[in-house]
Amino acid sequence: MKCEICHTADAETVFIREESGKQRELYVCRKCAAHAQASTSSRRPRSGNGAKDAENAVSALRPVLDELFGAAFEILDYAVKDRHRPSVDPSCPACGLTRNEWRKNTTLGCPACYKAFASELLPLIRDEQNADRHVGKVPPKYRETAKRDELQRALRAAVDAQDYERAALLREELEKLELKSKGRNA
Amino acid sequence: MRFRRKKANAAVPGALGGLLRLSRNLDGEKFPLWASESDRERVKEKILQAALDVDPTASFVTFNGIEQSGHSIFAEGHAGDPYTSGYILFASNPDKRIAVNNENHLAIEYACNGIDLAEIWPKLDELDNRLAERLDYAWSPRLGYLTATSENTGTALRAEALVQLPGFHLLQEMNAVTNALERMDCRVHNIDSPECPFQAAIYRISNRITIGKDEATLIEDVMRVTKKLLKREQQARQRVIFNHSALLVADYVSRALSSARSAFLVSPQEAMQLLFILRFGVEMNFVKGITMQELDKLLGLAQKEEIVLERFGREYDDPEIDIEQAYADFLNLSVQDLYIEPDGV
Repeated sequence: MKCEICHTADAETVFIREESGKQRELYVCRKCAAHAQASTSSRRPRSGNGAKDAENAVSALRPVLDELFGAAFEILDYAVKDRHRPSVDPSCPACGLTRNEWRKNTTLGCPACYKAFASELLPLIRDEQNADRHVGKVPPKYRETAKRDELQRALRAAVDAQDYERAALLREELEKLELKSKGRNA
Repeated sequence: MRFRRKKANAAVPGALGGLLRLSRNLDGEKFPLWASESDRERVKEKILQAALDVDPTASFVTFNGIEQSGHSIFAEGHAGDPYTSGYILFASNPDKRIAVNNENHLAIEYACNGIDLAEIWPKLDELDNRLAERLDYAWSPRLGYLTATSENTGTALRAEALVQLPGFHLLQEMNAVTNALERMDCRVHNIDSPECPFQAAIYRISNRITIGKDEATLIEDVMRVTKKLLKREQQARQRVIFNHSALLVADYVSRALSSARSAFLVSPQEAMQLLFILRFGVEMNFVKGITMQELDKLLGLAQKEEIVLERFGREYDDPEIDIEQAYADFLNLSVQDLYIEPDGV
């Protein structure tokens, strides 16, 4: 699995980040984890300009102590409130597989998971395979729909490029396809 | 992947076989890893019924059953449970089969003798189309065929070529070759057992990418890379002899022959590897006393554990010892008339 921050190195550790008031687990590489950790620590207030050694030592240790106490309180907080805490781990509505289960096993639960985790899956597929649009075979049942989608995409591209002659041809082809489909349904 | 005997006129040194695999899943069903036994059983029944509609000679065999009958020493790892996972085999054509409830609900496989994968694609495509008329495949207009892992989605096609690269192995250039192949979007997998002291240098070359290119292009890419690789392997074999020494090849083959002639216990995998090294010796004209056709027959037999056990087994209490002793006897007997006579050494 690739790092969810830089999308290049392999993910080696989990980093928890606050995003719009929600906690989100990110699978990241060691470098990005260190960078994220450093940027969190640097935001903490530091004391004075080094007047006394003892004060300096305490202020140098403060971020570490803050972190240790913070973690301890966080664990206590989880232990007390965990049962009533709303789940932060999204899941697939069809099979119930959670995002963490998928990321740990790298195996999805069912075809509907592709929709449930689309926002993360599409960048992942792009990273892994340098493409995220299927161009090959289409099952017989979906061939008409796929043809219609392809024509609509080409039509939009032709209009954007102001190639109105091609757009007219594509629209004609689309209409023929619609008529054929309506005739079959009737 | 099964090694299949090559036709005499189709021999390309180093090319051992090819396989195309299309992974498919049924819409609305959990993928096998997460499905319950009853879910998997229902999926298996649906697929078997569709396969029987397409070809009445279809029958289901569990992965355990396949391994016991020794059909496939080079088979991929099987993750399914022992009752609902296995292969649908076709008595009408041993080259085609369907893996059921492994990583995906079904994987339609078609094997060929050489590496001409483009030749078998129309047959696989037709079988897939006929199954698609009877099964509701999981498919998305954007991502194509949906698979249990995102790295297979799209065409869900693996085009594999099985090749033997002892030239690169003897020159210790396999790492560089693997890196070069990976840069060309190919996967390289060495299928030699690391426990076996004799490495036959057998590699499976397959496409890494499954989306963004159509099936014909993916197959063409793997074939083009494999042909180029085999050409370079021929040059590597010549370099071993002319730039280094024919003794390198003679030593490599001779050690395998000595082991095959005198071993007391040999695992089926090790027996295959020893025979593949001898096959390389025959290709290089170093091993005498056997023809390529005879050696290919031995390789075919070595994949049938049941037959080897029946002919050479002595029914020891430990079944593993029994198999290894049977394979050792089989090898001792098969290679007793072989000898090494390298030209110019």
